Amino acid sequence: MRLPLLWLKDYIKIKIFPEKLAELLTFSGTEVEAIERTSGLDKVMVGEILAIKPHPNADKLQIAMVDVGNQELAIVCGAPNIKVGQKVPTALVGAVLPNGLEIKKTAIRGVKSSGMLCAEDELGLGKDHGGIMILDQKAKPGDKLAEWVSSGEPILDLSITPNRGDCLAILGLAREISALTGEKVKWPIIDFPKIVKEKINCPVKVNDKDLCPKYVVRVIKNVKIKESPGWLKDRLLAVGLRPINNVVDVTNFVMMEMGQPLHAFDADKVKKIVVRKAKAGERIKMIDNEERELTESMLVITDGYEPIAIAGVMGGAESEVADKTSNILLESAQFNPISIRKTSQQLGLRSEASLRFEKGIDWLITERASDRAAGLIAELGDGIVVEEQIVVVGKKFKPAAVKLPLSYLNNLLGAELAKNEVMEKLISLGFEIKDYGRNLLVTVPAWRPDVKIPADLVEEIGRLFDYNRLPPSYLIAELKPMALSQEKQAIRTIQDILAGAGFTETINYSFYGHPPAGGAECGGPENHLELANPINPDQRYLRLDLEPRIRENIEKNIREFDPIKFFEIGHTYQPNPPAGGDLPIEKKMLAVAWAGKKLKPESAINYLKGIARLIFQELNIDAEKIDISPVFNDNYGLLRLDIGELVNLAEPIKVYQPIPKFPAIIRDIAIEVEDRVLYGQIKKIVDKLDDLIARVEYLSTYSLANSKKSLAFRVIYQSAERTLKSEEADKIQEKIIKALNKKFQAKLR
Amino acid sequence: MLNKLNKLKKQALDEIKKSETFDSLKFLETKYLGRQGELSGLLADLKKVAKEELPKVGRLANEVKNDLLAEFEKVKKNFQSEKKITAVNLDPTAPGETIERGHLHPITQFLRKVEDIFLSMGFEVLDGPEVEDEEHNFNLLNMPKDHPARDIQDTFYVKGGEAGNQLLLRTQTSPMQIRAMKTRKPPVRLIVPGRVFRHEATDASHETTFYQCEGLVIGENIKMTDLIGTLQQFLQAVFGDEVKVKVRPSFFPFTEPSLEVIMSCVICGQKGCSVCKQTGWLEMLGCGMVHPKVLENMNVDPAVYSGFAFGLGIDRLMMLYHQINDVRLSYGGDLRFLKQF
Repeated sequence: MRLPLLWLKDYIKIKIFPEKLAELLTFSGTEVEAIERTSGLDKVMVGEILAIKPHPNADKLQIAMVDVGNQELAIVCGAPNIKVGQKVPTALVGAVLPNGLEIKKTAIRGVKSSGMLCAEDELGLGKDHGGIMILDQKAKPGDKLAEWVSSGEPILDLSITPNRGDCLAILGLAREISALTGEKVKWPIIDFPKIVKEKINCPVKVNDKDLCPKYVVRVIKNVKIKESPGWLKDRLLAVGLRPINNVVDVTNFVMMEMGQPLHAFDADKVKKIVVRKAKAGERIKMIDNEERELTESMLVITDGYEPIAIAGVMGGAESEVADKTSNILLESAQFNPISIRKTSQQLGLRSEASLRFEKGIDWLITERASDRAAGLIAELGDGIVVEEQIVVVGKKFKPAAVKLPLSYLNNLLGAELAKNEVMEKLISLGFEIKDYGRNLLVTVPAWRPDVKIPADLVEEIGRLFDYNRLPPSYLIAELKPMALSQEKQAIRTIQDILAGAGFTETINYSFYGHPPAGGAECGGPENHLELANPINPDQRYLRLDLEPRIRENIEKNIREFDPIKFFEIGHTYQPNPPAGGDLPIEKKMLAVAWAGKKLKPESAINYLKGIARLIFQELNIDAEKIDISPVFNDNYGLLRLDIGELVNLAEPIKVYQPIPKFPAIIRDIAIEVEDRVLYGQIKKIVDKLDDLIARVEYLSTYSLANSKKSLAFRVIYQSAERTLKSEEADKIQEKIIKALNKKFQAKLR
Repeated sequence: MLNKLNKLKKQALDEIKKSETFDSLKFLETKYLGRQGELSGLLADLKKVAKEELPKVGRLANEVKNDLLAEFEKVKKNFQSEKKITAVNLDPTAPGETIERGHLHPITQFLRKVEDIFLSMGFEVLDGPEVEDEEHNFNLLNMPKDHPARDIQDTFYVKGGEAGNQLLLRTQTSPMQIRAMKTRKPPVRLIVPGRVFRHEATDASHETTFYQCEGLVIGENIKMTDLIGTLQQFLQAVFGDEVKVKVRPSFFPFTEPSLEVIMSCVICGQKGCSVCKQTGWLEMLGCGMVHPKVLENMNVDPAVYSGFAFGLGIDRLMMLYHQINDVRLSYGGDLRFLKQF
């Protein structure tokens, strides 16, 4: 919402600088995003008149020597009001004034002039052309003029919160400012220049009073359609509306002034008004010359047969006010906010009118806005207002009343506000109060449908008081130790281990476009949760696996980095949500990837297995209990682990194992076996062969001829009771070789 | 005798000079100064020296001994330092080996900071589902069916779910407030960091995916000033005690009254810059007192308890912290970005 101060001042005195006003508004809940100043004041500075000399060639001209801070300029000036010592607006060479005048170095009657001393109107600051504008004596030469002219009529760019539809009107904002500054709001006087004692010759019927609780009609006759006067056009342009003609401009003006959208029909084309829901397939050509098809949920204004406007959204072309129009039928109405929002959404038509209807309109403003606009139309178009005003009302208005206990107010705010101060603030905002001692009964004004409960009133008082005046306090509570959950702690541990091992964490989108076809983890699209409204096809499926996006990460970086070590921890989303309204199951997954142009699958996989073991050791997980099978694709190896599973298997406390009292005997064994024989099979046998075998460790594998390989492992022999003799180990080793020979035809190498 | 001593000294110094290793030096030390070394051997002949020369010889012997000892120490020191620097190609100005390390994502690092600060203030840290339903993401948070935030433009809906309670990607971490309160009773203090989603076109300051941290405090006599004080402490813990924190009124459906917290610009120190749009202040987060309807939806009696809630935009805070100007960098997997943290 744009708030031109020029317009605002029609209704309320503003005695503070725009910056101060902006601050007051912002800290009371109406955020000022920017202060826009009239352009063209950039190169206009404060100048001090040091001396005045007569012009040698002209009686009415003088030469002023002006200090503008960093230099002294000689400027020829025709205004009689300048005196030495005055501070005056000085346009430097190169300035382009708001009225378009460009200041150039020039000679006037043979005397060089480097700049111009300005009058109010030349700066767009007012209408005064009587003389040079005289500034406050406190202004310093070289200051920008914009810092010193409060009547610079800037425009405040406001961000109105969705609950404050009443602030989408200049008068609504004036009301807010009145509560902040104490200045009274002066409402425009409604005046019909000419009035005719007649009835309106157009019956009005509202079929759906839920969707249209109030419909008000006025008629203005013999109106001349023409261009609007300057003051009206200026105001519309300042709020960002394009002037069209006097009638349309008045409807827009009153909408911006009072917040009530209006629509003007050509009365000669509308013999009857019926407000009803549209019929399916009904069509209407709108004032933007586009034809639109309507649906049954939309509310339309009809002439009894055909739609002539889509209620609250846009008018139809047929009944539009045109140059030849002379009688105006003016609609001022209340429509159901939700219905308007849906309709404008469906049609893709958002207008200043629909925006206001969506937020709800002050119930009591509808008739007043109708009168105000009728008066202005009559005034600007030399028309006659028909005395009758048709008002069709579908509901009874009862102002809301909210009980506010003062203890509740002070407890919630954390303040000790006096009752009279509280009452003063509420009254300044238009609330009416009955004082019941410790409780106030507060009647809410019609323009504030957002205020419904005591907490809403607390906000009203708090925001006017300025929360920053309340000294901050701190939570008082039992001291209870808080620790991260086991899962969060495990995630931190894993992240730290991986970062320490050289892996960089990546965070990817939760969705992808093409699940890798046939991939074991993903399956096809049918296995996925799917977005109903993806932004693009590449973000259509909720991930079932972290791999696809990590693969993209690798592709993106492989030219510049080799090798690449990535990891990601994130949710994956299981399809087929369980019955009974439960949410789909989400798993927290870890993916670790190692990529390189020349990476060998077996080294990648062995390395990632090592990474898994590192994690298991740190989390105290028995590696036997978990299946780890890294995969290799193209140029990267990938390890997946389910964080939930890790947390379940983790033993949070590492239990001390007594340090062996007796030394171990260590023997390395290398055997020759067929390629297909796996270390796991060997280990399984050896582990169980003798109680004195403490553990078995893998050493290495390499290929031999004839599909055979050499497999080396280490056996550690240990007893808890005594020092083992070498012969004992020899004996068991023989047993091992024998067993392996029997099972796998293994030969000692 | 004097000659012999001088000769011994010269010989020893020569040999020390030629000595190339620490071990050979040690050997020489024993050879000359050891208990059975050459000096001792020589001094064994003292008795042959004339009485009047004895003091002279004694002085010289002492001198030789001390000189040699000093020389041994000096050369030993050289050897010791040379032991560290022996390779000729070692350039003392070179930076040393590059030890490859990994990097935690800046979002992760910042979330940890946030979690740790709130843990230290006695807040629980919870986690919630990212696929939510309308009931928890909107309805129970006082955002009824026709609230503008529920427009299709803002929310990713997920196919499936129940009629009238569609599945969606949570647009905020707030639904976890409701879920958390199903198993808790006041007083509660908790935060919910996590990933949220918005259906909007991406640019330097908008992403479909970002991180939030929800906060919820419910108890008896929880006041707005508590809210302001808590968030002030939090922001000062992150950005330093010197930052100024203010609030201004705002609007959210699930809090009443609602506030926006602003902080003095950390980029320009309130001199005015493009980040703070020349205002000297930065919008940090939205918060407010939990709406009585939302308390009721949590089965908490608003007549007995009050509470506050806040929502931190982690990405924005993190970006301010590290002076990052494009939110999309976080989700692009670009190592040139990630390796900086």
